[in-house]
This record gives sequence, structure tokens and C-alpha cells, in this order.
Amino acid sequence: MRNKEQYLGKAGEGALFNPGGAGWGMEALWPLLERQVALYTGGESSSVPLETAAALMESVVLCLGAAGGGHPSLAAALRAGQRALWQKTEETRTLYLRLRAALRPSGSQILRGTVEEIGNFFIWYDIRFFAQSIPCMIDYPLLRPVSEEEKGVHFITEYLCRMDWENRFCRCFKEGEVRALLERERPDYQTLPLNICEVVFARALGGVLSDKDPVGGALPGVDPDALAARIVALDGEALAQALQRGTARLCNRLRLWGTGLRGYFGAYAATLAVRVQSAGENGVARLFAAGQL
Amino acid sequence: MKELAAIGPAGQGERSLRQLAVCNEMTASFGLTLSGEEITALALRHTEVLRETGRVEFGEGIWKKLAFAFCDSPHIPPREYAPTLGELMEMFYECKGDSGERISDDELIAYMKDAFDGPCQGSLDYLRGTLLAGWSRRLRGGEGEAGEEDEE
Repeated sequence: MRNKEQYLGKAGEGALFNPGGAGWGMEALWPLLERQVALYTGGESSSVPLETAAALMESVVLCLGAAGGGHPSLAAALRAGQRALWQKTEETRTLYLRLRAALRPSGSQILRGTVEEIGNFFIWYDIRFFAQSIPCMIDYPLLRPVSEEEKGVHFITEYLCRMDWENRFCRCFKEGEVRALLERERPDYQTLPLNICEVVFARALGGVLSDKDPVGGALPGVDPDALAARIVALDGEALAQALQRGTARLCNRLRLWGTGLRGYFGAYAATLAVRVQSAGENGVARLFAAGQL
Repeated sequence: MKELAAIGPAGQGERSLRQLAVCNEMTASFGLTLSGEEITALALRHTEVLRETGRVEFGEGIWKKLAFAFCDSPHIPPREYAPTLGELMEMFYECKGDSGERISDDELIAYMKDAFDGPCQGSLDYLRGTLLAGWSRRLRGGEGEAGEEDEE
């Protein structure tokens, strides 16, 4: 159990709420929390459960972290932070609507359902009291999950960005070929929480690594001999870099230029090195062809 | 989370002491006063009860409201004022939690006063064990152990 000093230490030393390097002790934040409790209870309760107070405090800290600097008081910073989060929520809503219109779930009910469910976030998100909350169910797994350190609208924004990148990648290929691949290699993909981009990416990357570039929206085949010649002899960091270079080439071929998107898939590719190395010469082609990375 | 209650605002106990002293000024005309020792004991017990019930208090707290509501009760002799006030305080926080936060401070204190002076005829045991327990359960929508309704 933490002692009091860990919460009320000198600024920057052991302060509990220290987003962005600014240290706010509990005593400095208490008046803000007191006001939030009064607003939350409508002035009708002088006490609240610890869990409620903790949640309200977490929200205060999140908002202060979004406020930036140069505010005359913590109260002013809190208001500025709430406005900043509101602005971000509006921008994220725009991203969401664009993604929902362009989404190609390829039959994945979990993907379609998750995107619809995220619409509830914008209805129920409570910046005023619980800015850290995520009032919606997120079932669809991304290639690279968003860190649980991200809270509230920050989490949703990052989740939607990544989903948008994956959707844009998959839309580079014909719907019929994507579905055929999924139905062959992931028969239960329509009803299970399986990431569909994983399979498509593996096939496409395998093709590029075996010098079979994607053309005309078709998923490339995988040449086992060419693939083995390129990567089987590699291991560790060299293999990870080869996979990243292959990803960069793939993005070039697909004309996917965004740095965020390219970085996302490049980072994902690097994580595949262990599985590729474990597959060995005989299994690596099957891994890529079947999207079993 | 309990650290929030443990540290609270600086001087949670001191604020309790001040409020109880202010209550004396208010209740003296009704023949009800607290000694220094009683004030200290109540303030300490208040901190303990908040911790036991998992609550954090803000603003002025409930001492003034409780004292003002009960100071004209015909069922509190002066010698029983301190222990009665302490038990009422405990019941207040227990009921706030048991009711699922569905009742305001003022509503609860009003109910407690009406029940204490009315059906309970000054019995704290009856107030706590029967009326408040049943009322909290109804506020929470009937949640509770099976058979309790039948026993009542």
C-alpha cells in the first residue's frame, strides 16, 4: 500500500498524477475533485463511494493532461482539457463516420458489429465526469492491439486509426479473393473474433518477398523457392528488417503512402520474425500463403 | 482507492472537529451539547466509519445537518446526545451505501428523523435493524437475500 508521501510528495517526486511530467499533488487536485463531486451529485451528497471518487479523480487528471500549459489555475486547465477532449472526440467522430462508410468487413460479423457498437461511444462518452471511460464493447482484435494505458477518446481514436489502416490495406485487393482466402484458411472467421487483415497481409507480404507483386487487386501467390532464398537464411534482427523492407515494398506497390499506416504494418511485420524463423524452410511458404503467421 | 480516504483533504479530522463545535452553538438552546472529549471521539469515529463504509466526504459534511435535524427530538436526553449522534452518523453512511446512492443527504436525514421520532419512538436498534434496512432494500429495487421480505 502506498503511503501518504507517495501521493503528496514534492512536485515531480512521487506525485500520483504526473501526466506529461507535471507533478500535481493530491492536495492541489483536491479542490477540483471536490467541485466535481458536487457537480456529479448535484450538490445532494456530501460523500461518495471511494470508487466513484477515484473515477472522478482519474477523469480530472486525464483532462488536465489534455489541457496543455499556460493556464492561470487548475480549474481553468480542467476546463481547457475538457474542451480539448471534446474537440478530439468530434474529430474522431469524423474519422469514425468515414471508416464506417468505407468499411469492407468481408463477412466478418465481429468486425461489422464492433464498428456499429463504437457508434455508442459518441452517444455515451462522458467527458465531464468520466473522460477515461470507453462506453462501448470492443470485440474485434486488431493486428496490433491498442495499449490499455490509453483511456477514453484517446483509446478510441487510436483503435479507429488502426482499423482504418487495416481496412485500407484489405481494400487494395478484390473482395472475392479476400473472402475466398478467408473461407479457405479461417472457416470460422465470420462469427469468431479473428482479424481478417492478418491473413491478407501475410499472403501479400509472402508474395512480395517471393518477387510476386500484387497486380490489379489480385492476391499474389507465394513462390516457396524464391521466398526461402530470400529469408530462410536470416534470423533475429536481420530477418525482422527483411520483413520490414518487404512491407515497405508492398506498401509502395499498393500505393499506400501514409507514414502512420506504413509504420503500423512495418512494426507488425517485425513481430513475425520469430514465427517465420520457427517455421523453417519447409514451412515458411505455407505460413505466408495461408496467412498463418 | 483507500488512499483517497486515508489522506482526503488536509485536516479531514480537524474539519470534523470544527463542525461539531459549530453544532454545539446550534443545539445548546435545546439543552444538547458535546464536551471536548465527546467531540474528539465523534470526529475520530467519523473518520473510521468513512473508512469502514468505503466513502470519501467533501464539503461541509453531515454533522451540521444531522445535529440540526435531531436537536428537537423528544427522544434524545442530554446524556445520550453524543452516543446517539454517533450512531445516527454510522447509520447515515451505511444507508447511503446500502441504498445504492439513490437518496440525497437531505432526504435520508429527513427519513431518519421522521422514523426515529415516529415508529421507532427513539429506538436506534429499531431504526437501524428494521426501518432503514428495509427502506434501503426497497430503494435498491428489492435486491437482498431471499426470504428477508417474508421475515418482515
